[in-house]
Amino acid sequence: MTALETEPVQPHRAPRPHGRWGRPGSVEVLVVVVIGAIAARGWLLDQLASTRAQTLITLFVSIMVQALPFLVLGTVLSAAIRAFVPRGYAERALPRRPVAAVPVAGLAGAVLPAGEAGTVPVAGALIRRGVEPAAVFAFMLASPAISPVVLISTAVAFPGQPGMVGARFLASLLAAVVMGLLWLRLGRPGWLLPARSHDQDRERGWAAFWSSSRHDIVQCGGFLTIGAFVAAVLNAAVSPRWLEAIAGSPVFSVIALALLAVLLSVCSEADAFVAASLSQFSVTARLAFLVVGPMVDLKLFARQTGTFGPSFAIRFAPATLGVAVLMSVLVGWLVF
Amino acid sequence: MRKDTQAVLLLLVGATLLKISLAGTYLRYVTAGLLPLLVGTGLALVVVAGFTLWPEMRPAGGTQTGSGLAGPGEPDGDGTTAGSTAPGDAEPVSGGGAHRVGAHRAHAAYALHEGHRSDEIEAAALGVTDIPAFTGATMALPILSVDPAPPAAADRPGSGSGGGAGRDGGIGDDGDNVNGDDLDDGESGYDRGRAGWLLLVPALALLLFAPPALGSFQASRTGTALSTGAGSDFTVLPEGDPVRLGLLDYASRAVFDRGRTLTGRRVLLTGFVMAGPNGEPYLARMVVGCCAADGRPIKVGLTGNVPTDLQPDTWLEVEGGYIDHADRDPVNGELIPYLQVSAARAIAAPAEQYE
Repeated sequence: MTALETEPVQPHRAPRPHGRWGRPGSVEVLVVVVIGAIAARGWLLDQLASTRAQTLITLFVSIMVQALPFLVLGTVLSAAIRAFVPRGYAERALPRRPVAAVPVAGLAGAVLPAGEAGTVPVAGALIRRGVEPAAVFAFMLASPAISPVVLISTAVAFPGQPGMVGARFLASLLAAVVMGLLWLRLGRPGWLLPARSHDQDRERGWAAFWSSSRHDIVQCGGFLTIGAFVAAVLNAAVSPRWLEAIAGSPVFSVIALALLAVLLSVCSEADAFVAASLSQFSVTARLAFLVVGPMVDLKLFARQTGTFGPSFAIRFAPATLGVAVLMSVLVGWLVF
Repeated sequence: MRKDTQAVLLLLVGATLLKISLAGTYLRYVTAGLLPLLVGTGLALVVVAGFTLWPEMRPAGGTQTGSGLAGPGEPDGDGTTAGSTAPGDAEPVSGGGAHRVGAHRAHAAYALHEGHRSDEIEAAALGVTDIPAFTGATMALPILSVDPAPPAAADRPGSGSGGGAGRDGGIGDDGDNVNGDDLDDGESGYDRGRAGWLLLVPALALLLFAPPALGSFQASRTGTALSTGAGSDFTVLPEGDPVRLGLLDYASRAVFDRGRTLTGRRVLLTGFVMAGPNGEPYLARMVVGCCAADGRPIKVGLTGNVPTDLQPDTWLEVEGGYIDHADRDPVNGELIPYLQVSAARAIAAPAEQYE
């Protein structure tokens, strides 16, 4: 119980300098960075004058420009669904028996894209409300992977290969359903953190929509930048022979891209464009990249640890990785 | 990252997209078909940014309820959802849980009046429980978080504000996670918006450097992508002397059809110059699937009346005829057909450089 601290003169405890923007904060830093870049433009141009550097920047920028419309579309759609779709809508539609609920929940991911940013907290809330965890996990895995914008972006990214869209859909759905069924068989509620009182669902309405959109676009944009940069480096700076060596091996190429997907944490609306640029790799390897990415990556692992606890995440994430790779190889072998 | 900063970033990215769309330089990176999407996205980003920044730019005070204040009529409204507040906790402030909305709204109005940062307003309006809530008037009386489950509050890493007594770090800080949207379950270091700073890189790269289209450097590193043209039906060439052909078209007919449809015809090809493995001149053009990043070159060798001293990346319009000769691309072993050149002239790089 705090003592009554009365500061009759200063209305707010934090020392606050004048001005709406407060003490030097992120906006000021941003402005300084931008001005600095403009001022240093000549010097930067000299540093980056080599054709190799210019090619790298062009590749990097082109992935960003191509992916941004889909990223924005996808995140805005997910934010709208999280902000406006009434609570409880999904649960009523689920079948009673868990074994049936799992595939239905997986398919529901295609229709109710909660977006990569939202699925883990939404899953946490659903479990707290008593929905069968296996179904929730299937939904949690499938929703970022097979949402409409993701499939559209995959179609745009692989214009000569329509099979890629179907393969991604199938492999991701299978992986999500298998994980849900695995939880039914092997999962123990003890691995999940106890429920909390902090209710996620209070954030509804237009205010939540705008702030979710803003936050998610910035977040995803940041990770897309990393992914695009890595892809550009692979294309422009790494020796082609070295790349061909890894890409040529069926086993190593799949493993390499699966691991890359885990590291890069690119949002699923945009990862198709990163994958498309890795043209040295086989279609199956890139399929693995696309299936693994939305389900297992550093970002998701951190969120799962936060929502469900470490003992859950440490079992769930590697299992998902294995299942996802397996399904990609299987479907890749069938389709391509 | 503060919401203002996020908004400014989005504004910058949106403006960049609009700039490259309207200036036509987007064609260096993506195909022409993407233009409407690019413009739409640029506008959307500006709108999203505007909805955050606009309430801040309006004069403080007054009766506005900006988007931040349009508090959703939430279960919070009856003030009891966060669990019953221990009477002892709430007393010093405004008389118990039932008045929490009043306290929040009052605080919001007060903060707005005092020109405080809008994240506080938003947080207050969204009913975030564990910021110090003030009465509308003068006294600053921090209360304990009325959330009876302190672990939930403490679990938000980096949230700055905690359930602890008197810690107002969440507001005095740089505003990290004071936004209602950041205080999610499972909030982790990855969600603090730090990654978003990286968006500055492509935005500044586009605005300041206008990276050029892919050219001879990439073309020489990458094998010729002739296999993409295999298997197509080779119809008779259209009328015209010389007839204008795309490089992929010419190369496919030359290699897969052995020039059957090309014999006796003069063709006009456009591309940029690149040097072959032994310095011989090739004409090349990048074929692009979805964006420049997956672009692969088509290479055609030049022989005959070829200008000397050609610099790489010079654009040429070349007229000539089919000749039955081909190189092997050292990078991927595909065939590079040749053209017997009769005339060549330098041209400016076309607006759409990719095929």
